[in-house]
Amino acid sequence: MSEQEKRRQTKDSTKRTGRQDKAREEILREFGASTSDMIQKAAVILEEEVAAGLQAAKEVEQSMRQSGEVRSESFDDIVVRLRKDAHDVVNIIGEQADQMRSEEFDDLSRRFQKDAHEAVDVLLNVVTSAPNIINRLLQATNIETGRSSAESD
Amino acid sequence: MSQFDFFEERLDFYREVAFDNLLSVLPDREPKRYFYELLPEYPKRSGKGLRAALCLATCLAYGGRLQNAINSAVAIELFHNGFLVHDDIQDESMFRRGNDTLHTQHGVGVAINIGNALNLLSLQVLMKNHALLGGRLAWQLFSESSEMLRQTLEGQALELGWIRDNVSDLTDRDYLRMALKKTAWYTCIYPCRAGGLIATGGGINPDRFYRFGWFLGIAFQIQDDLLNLIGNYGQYGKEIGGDLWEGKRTLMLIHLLNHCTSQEKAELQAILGFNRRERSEVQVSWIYEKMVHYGSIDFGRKCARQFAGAALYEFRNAYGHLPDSDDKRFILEMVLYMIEREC
Repeated sequence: MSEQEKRRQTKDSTKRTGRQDKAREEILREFGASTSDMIQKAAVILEEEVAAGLQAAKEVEQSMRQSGEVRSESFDDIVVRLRKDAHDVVNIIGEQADQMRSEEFDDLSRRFQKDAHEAVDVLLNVVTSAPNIINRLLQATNIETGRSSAESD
Repeated sequence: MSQFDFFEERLDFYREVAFDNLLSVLPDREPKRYFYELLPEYPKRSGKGLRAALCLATCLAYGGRLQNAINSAVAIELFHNGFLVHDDIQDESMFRRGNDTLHTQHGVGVAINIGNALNLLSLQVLMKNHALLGGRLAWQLFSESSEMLRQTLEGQALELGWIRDNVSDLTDRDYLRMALKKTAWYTCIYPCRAGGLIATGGGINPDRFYRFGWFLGIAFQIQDDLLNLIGNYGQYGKEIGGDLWEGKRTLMLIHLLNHCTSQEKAELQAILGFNRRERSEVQVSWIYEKMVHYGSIDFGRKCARQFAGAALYEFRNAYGHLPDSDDKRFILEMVLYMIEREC
């Protein structure tokens, strides 16, 4: 693109932007000068609907909290990290055991690694399901005290 | 060359991002003929993509990453297309985006199913936010979507109920509430809130977008109703006068009902009491002429301008503090575009 073309395009673009700026200024001036009944009505209606929406949102949030307050995202993250670390430890021990070579010991070492990995998974599965159990216990307590029979449906 | 060259170029960019991703989430498997092949029907009919654009632009203007807002932008457009399919059935509309409506092409039953599927896909896309943005923000966006859906369905219920019961004693306030719920929430308020939340990782109060989104949305809706009365089919893509045929309670119709003589009002009520198939061309033209006579169309134009002015004012509160960027400029130019567009 030649310099001349570039300058022309910039000029066109500035002209168009100028036209828009002018139109916007005019609309804003009209808006500023008017005490529009419609705008006021619209603002009030928005406030009313937002207030009503907040109430509805609070109700939903409250019922969600009751069913999910123990298990949090950070809890899940910790379990994932812990599982990885625990498996890494088992692998390191396994590698060290591999250095003590003998046929009998190889077999023992393989079994040890397999059992240890399984033990980590079982243990962490129990830990992961703990919040569920706690939640259920909490729910049961709530039901006994008659606090949340409606939400549990 | 138009004064909206920059806006339209930028809109093309956002639309391409959103629609490429949207089409990629549509499954390609059996049953194709009655289901999966029909899912892209409306999305492919090149809508404007304003809602996705507003979400992406807000995210970028607030310093967020485009990639993080794509799921939400796609979800908005999927919801929108699902609403359109159902809306066309409910209104018995014949044309959409320059072509026959889905239910006139494939039957009402099949079309309802497609609308449901588009809504389901929106939910699935929103679920992807969990891995991308983390559980807390994904949940916040899901709650925003739930509120948006509630508002939209309530607004749609009002509009349909007014037509069914031939309600004729409506006021501006009734119209505004219906339009806030039916259109403004999902067209402007929700995309802005979602974009802002995504950009800041949930670190801002999205309530700052309420007023801007509301005024922009109502300006958009009134302009849409005006185009339905006086637009050009080639550009607008919907049936001109369709709202009169459907008896929709637009701001202009409510103005007419409240300004015509009691005799004319009785006649108008009688016409509106017929269903679409019973109304004649002469009756529809009569309503239009009365709207011109009583200044209802000019009133609509004036209101759209006032709301655009209010949106420009609120733009300062929602975006004014941000550094200049193409995205910020795009949102600013959208205000004027909403009331000067011809399609």
